[in-house]
Amino acid sequence: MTDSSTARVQYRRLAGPSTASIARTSLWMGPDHVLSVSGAGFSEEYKRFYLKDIQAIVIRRTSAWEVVNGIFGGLTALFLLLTVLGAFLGWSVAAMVVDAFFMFLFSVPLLVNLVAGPTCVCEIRTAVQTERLYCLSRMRKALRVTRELRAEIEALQGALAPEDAERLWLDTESSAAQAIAQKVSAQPIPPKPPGRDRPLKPYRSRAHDILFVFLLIDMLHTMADMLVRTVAVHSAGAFIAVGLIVSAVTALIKQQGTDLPRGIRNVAWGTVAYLGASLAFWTVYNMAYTIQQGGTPDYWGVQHYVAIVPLGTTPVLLGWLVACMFTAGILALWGLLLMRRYRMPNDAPPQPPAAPADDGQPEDNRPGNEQPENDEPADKKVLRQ
Amino acid sequence: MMAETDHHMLACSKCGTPLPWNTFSSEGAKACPACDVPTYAFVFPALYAPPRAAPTGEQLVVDDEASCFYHAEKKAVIACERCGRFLCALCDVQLGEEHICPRCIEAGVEKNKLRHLTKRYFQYDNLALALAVVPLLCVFWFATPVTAPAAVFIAIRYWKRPLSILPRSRWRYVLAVILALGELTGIGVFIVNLVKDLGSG
Repeated sequence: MTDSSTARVQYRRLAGPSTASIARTSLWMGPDHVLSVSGAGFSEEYKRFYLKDIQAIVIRRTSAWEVVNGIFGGLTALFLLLTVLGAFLGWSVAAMVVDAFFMFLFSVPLLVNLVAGPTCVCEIRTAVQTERLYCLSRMRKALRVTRELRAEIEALQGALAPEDAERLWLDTESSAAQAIAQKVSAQPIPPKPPGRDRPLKPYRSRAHDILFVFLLIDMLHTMADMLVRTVAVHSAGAFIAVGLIVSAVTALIKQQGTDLPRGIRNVAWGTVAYLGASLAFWTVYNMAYTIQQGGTPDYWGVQHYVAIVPLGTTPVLLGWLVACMFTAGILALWGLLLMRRYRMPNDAPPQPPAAPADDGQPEDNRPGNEQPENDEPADKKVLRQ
Repeated sequence: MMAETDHHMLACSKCGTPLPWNTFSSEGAKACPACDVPTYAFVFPALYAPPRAAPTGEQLVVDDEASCFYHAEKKAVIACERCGRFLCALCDVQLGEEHICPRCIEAGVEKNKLRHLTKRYFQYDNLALALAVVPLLCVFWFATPVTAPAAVFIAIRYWKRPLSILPRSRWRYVLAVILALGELTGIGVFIVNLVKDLGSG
């Protein structure tokens, strides 16, 4: 008798090894199942997903790619600028080498991330579990592997065409579909975070526009401050800072309970973080200056020094001003872009009312395209009927 | 009923909102209706398959029929291919092409004898290599008189033990033994020189 339980199963590698999580993970294709392998330290663990049991594979795009690009891109640009400035201002070779080294150090992960492509979360689902596949953390790879898996699964289970999915969902004779419809209609759409029962108001204020314009002015002022070293130009920064603080606080208050997209809210909070970092930097700088000058606090003396000192002789100040210029510029442009995108449907000429969405096309949830009642997507209304 | 049909529903992995059918099996990404995150949802017929009914085993009708070893009141339908015990439909577990009883499965899992059910392997080759290499890389070089023999012992003792259900060669064992023997030789030379120096001094 052949002992099939102990015979070696032939596996073909699908993806990995990857170190996207703490463990080393990989994905393998067996004769009738997918094997997810995760290894940490001196052991390896296995999870099998039999092709006949796989119900769905869900891939969700994440923003980690943009975040990593932003962080490493910003740092690379900063050190590139410092290197170029150092060459123009005649810094020592050692300082420029250090700048170039850091530029290289930050550009490597930036390039690797750019080449690897957008990030995602990929999950495989069976009747008894939903398991995240950590080795499929990039969209391109996840879609490639999913294409292979789909072919294998559909060869075994058969393909589920979109119209079949629609029928199974909407078939009133199917108790499952009815239950799903009940569950969907019972669920608030879109789901509100816990404790937020009030409906979201449409955002009508201009506070965020003012905040982003102030950020743009701040960027231009910082640039001017670097080029024209006078007390008058530097002092103008105080008025801009007051304007920034007031507009940031106003924006944070105004965005409460509105349908403003999360991206714009994050830019507003990013501005607050930027202001906090500025405050911390100048506090430390003032203290350092005071200690250097013998311990007597002299606020105006510090401001005068900062306004007129040649930047070529103070790399710390130069680096800080460059960082401020970049941060304010990125926040301002990003914020204005998001606001423009948010308002775009309202600026467009009015569209004729859309037919009930029973054709499976997704509804646009942006403002200006709101549903007449509680913003409910049309396909879910169909399910309630 | 709701709990019964939960398994027919596919939810967004970020916000948990049920995904509508028009996001399924799409070639392009569709946005989740609640969190607006681009999502690909590839759905297969198993999502809508009714739950499989578990066999319960047929009751004995005639006294001279063979009964299940574990359930005396149920009719035996097959014998375990490992221990030979008669099994009813409830106790019969098909694993690949084999029919095995629950107790043999339990024993097989404990002893890592069933490849279909193996969930974990300890990788002794990694351990042996780490014992041989880590003391050289870190400040624990003084531990080599202990770690080098341990690496050799593990490599020899567990040479034949399976390391993974995936293809995996034994080069780590070989490298661990070579490094460990090198370390032991170094230790031997050091001791001989020390003894010589002490003798001449």
